Amino acid sequence: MTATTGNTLIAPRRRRSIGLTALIDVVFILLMFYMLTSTFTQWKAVDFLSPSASKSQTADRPQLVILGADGSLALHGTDFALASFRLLDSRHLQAFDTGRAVVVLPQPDSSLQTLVSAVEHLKAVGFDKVTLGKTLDSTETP
Amino acid sequence: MHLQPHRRTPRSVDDNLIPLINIVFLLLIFFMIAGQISQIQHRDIQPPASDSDKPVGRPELVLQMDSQGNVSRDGSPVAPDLLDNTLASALDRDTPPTVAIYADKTASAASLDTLFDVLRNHGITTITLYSIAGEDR
Repeated sequence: MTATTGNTLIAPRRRRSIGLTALIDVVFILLMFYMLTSTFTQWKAVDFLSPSASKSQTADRPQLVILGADGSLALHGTDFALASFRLLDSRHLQAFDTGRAVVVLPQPDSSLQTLVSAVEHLKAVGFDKVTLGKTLDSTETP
Repeated sequence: MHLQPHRRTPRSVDDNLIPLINIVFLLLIFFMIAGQISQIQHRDIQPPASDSDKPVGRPELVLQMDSQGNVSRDGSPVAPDLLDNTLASALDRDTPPTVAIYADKTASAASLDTLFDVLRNHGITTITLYSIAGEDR
């Protein structure tokens, strides 16, 4: 029995396909949202232990390293000095005691980048315990 | 053998859009998975670069410091003389919270030292500094 012969039956309605334009609109909006809001920056942590926290780790007096604003490095109490902390390598370790903690004392106008780089360089050279101390008085020179 | 020429069926406009949708979907999935939606940081603060591999966790207290040494918390500036009082409420707990500082790489050591002093006075033993991976220059 078909619709043409019987009046009681209605011909099945043709299924309308869903238009893709609306879907693309939504997907584009989502894409724009994620492209504009997402960041790909990978934040890395540089930890600074306070003197009170690191005091328990070593009973020895720490070695004081004076960091100049231009990146110069000097070991307090000795005549060891370098024009840049980047020049420090394993050959210079005899001037230090690598078992003892190192406290970096920056000059007040040292930049944070210099400070972070110097601390990381000291760790890379072979010092296990490197921490940040107080800044020097402006009258002191390395 | 008689081969009938292949008659092309008329394609709708939607059919032409399917490759486009495929590409757009792939882009969408890439940005959804690879990107991270994070709070907008201060654009005038450039954190220092470091070789650290340690990811920053979820610090309970985040402070910002610009190149002039001005400290702000959640985007609102904190006056230097009010720094101690402002942080006292956030830091006055039984267990000290984890503190991270989002500081500009050109900030001076003296201004950082001032902030560290306040935090240490409140019992903070470890202060985390935000940095970006890569060469410092």
